[in-house]
Amino acid sequence: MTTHTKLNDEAGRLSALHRYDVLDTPEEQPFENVVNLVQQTLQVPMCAVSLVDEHRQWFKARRGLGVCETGRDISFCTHAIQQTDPFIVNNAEEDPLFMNNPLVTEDPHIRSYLGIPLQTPEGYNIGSLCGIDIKPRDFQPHEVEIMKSFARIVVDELELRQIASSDALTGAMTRRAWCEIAEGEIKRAHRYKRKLSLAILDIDHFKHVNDTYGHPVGDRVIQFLANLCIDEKRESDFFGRYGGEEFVFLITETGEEESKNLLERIRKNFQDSPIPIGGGETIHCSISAGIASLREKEFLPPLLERADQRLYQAKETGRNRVVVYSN
Amino acid sequence: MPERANELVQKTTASLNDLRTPVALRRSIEQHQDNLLSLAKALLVAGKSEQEILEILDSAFSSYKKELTKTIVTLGNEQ
Repeated sequence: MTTHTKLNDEAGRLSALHRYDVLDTPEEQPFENVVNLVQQTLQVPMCAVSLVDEHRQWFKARRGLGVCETGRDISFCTHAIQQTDPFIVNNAEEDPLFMNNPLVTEDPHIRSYLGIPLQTPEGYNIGSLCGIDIKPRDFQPHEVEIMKSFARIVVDELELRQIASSDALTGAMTRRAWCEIAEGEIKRAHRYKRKLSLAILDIDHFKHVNDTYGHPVGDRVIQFLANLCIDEKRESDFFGRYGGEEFVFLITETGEEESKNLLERIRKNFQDSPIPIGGGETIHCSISAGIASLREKEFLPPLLERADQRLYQAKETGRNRVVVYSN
Repeated sequence: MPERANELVQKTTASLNDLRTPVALRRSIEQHQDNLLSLAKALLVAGKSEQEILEILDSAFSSYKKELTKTIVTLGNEQ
């Protein structure tokens, strides 16, 4: 599979990283294994699985490195994620980009570096797998190939966890996975004083669809809505199945008005789309939605509660509408 | 050499045959086997012995398999 690397979409890259929900988590065997193998096969004194967020590189696993994170400004891995190919420094003391870097002039006295981008299936470089030496070194092509394989194995592990977070019917996030991500995104929104909105949407008269056409048709209607939402959502938004025919949308960097526009677009598309139910027949359905935007110091449960109140209001006032909780 | 690499990967991942894997995981498993194959080829080029390669593959695969088993259970519980 050939994936186009997305090097100029920092917001999408950060969202891809946060989706894995792996930053600041404890040591884990799969990643410890990989750094052990890198150290053993490349005979390097230092190596790491480095994940690069807004301001820092954080080491999910490391060998020979005394700190668990460094600023991006001095990080070699920041350079590694800016390219598709392996990033190689043979002699940092002679490299104008690194000769004055404190990681070179001071402890740990890096001299050579081989970094392979950790590329997600969508093409985002979320970090790198790196091998570091304290002496100048020409990394051989077979060493680069070994590192590339290990880097892909790191992504295999991360991706495998993502599959457990996806709802089998719709491809949306499971409720558990969505709530975990939502809590993290809300903290982030508070920390960086960013806007964030949450929407709850529900298929109108869904019981009637199931009772009239049967559960397989009900499932198709659910899938149809989920596909529509997944197509509409940006890389930085999080869409989950909250239960049955109810879905949740976490819309990052976005206030009430823009969120309402997004949900109105989905509502109208869904209402206007004939949903195939087999045998050449189609049916039309609609949704109701409630939206609330994050308030100061607010966390997930009250935000969900406010959005749910507006969903209830949308249902009570005739369905097929989007109602916003105005702050 | 590709055949040898393939044999080593098959040997390492033979225990997968004992697992009943949901469709949702098949692509991930194929991907992982491809990546182990690339690793095995690169290690052969590096001049590693078959025993060394098997140990490395086994170590890389064992943690993936552990996670895979966990995921199969999670998916089973959610269905």
